[in-house]
Amino acid sequence: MWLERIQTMLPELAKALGETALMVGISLGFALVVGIPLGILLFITDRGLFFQNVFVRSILDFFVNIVRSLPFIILLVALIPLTQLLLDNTIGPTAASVSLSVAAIPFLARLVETSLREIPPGLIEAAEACGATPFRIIISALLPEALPGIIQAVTLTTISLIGFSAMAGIVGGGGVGDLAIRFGYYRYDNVVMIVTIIVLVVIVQSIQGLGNQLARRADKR
Amino acid sequence: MIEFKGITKRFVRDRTPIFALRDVNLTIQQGEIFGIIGESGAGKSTLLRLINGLETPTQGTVKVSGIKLSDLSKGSLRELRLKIGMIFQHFQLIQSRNVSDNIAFALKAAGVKRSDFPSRIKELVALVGLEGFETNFPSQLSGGQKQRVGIARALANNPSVLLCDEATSALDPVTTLQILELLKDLNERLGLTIILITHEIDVVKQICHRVAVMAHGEVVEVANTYDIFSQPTHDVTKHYVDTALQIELPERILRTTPGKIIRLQFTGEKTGESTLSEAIKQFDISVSILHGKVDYIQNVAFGVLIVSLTGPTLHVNRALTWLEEQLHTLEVIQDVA
Repeated sequence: MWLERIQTMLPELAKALGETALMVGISLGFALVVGIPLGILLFITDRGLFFQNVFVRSILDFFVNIVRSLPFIILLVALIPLTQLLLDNTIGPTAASVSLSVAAIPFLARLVETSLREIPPGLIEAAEACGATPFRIIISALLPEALPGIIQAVTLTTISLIGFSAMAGIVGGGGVGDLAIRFGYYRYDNVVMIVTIIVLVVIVQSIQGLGNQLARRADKR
Repeated sequence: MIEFKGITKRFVRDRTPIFALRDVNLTIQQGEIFGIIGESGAGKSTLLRLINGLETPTQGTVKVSGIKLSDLSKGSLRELRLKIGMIFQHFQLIQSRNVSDNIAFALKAAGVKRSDFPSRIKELVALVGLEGFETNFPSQLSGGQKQRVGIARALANNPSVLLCDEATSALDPVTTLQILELLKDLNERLGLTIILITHEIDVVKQICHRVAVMAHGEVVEVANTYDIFSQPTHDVTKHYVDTALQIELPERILRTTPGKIIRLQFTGEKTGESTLSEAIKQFDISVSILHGKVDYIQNVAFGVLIVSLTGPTLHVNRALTWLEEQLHTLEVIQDVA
């Protein structure tokens, strides 16, 4: 009986997976494009570094902390006006991606900053002593050195986004998490619940495994 | 070549001002190996970093090749840094890049054409003796090899000055000697001006032409290396020289040895033994050697002997006067008649 149920839920599951992939993909894309530079900026504007700027640093720090201090479900609802403004629509996976991106950017930025902080200050000093420009130091010294940490940070962000996206059902975003809530919780459909749990566990484990492997390969220490 | 004038550097830590440097005046000549020795916290590291603008003085001026560093824009300072190489105690290599790419970093910083990289890297690798290690990562190299990569990176853009920040302090004695030999060789072959800071007097003894002794942010003595050893004037310097020579007589020997115990210092051509044997003949006294050491600094012999003179008081005193004339540096350690 449960085998049949699985069969009938497959199209539903495939659609949900597609929605999750869309939401996570879009927001991760924004996180990479905006969050990594933001993390770098947070790091190099700090005291004692070559782009030291107390003003910029404290403003960025403030905004990152604000976003990070809100539970995602609240951020999701609070950003509905912004989503309306940007997309002229507040429903569906694309709409949910706005809030997801806003959550993911500071999340990844903070993690990137932390991995940059592990670089010995002496190495940055050595790069400066070589006569390198700030751009050169970032591209050819900081990023390669922090790469294993950044890969881990992206992995963690992806997994967190999958978790966050489960709440996207609130704004009709769909996705695997939403499927589990709608069928498994509201309709007591245990088969759907168990299947989605298994699917999510497999996805998260694979992403973590891939991330670990890439990070290990990048790590030459 | 490099000129420090009235340099003061003040930090504020926990709201109390700390003077890292106090009124430092120093000139370093082109082509010399100049040592700066001092305990940690003496200010030598700050002084070194003033040369390439990693630190700026609170007061005073730093000139490199006649250019006042404080007049330079950020861009011109970076250009100057291309001509001032620097190596570090902990090497500070990019761990995620291999030997070639670490050297390439300095070439990229200078905007060298990519097509010129391979030949230049090959030259540099050969210069520091690292052939065959081009694709190794720093974690696969020994300390000495890592420092060689550091040297190659520092020399990538044909600098005229090399700054060495405790460059051998993390290395074992044998490797230290090899790296010092390499530095000496680079100084002679390329006419490279080398400024090194260290807390080890042996490093100074091995390669420095001149040395500045620092204590509590001040330069307390500047002299030729040989003179630092033969005529140290400041207490800090004397302490370093004594450690380097390791000449100290055990207390028991001092107590039980009869006669006048004197410390003779001889330098250059005049060796201690010949002077002593002449004294024995001339004044009819007996001499026993209690301790002695001959060292070579910049290839000039430098020795210390501790001897006891026994014999009739008149003879001993005459011998003493004569020895003093001959050797200039003589010190009576103990006088038991």
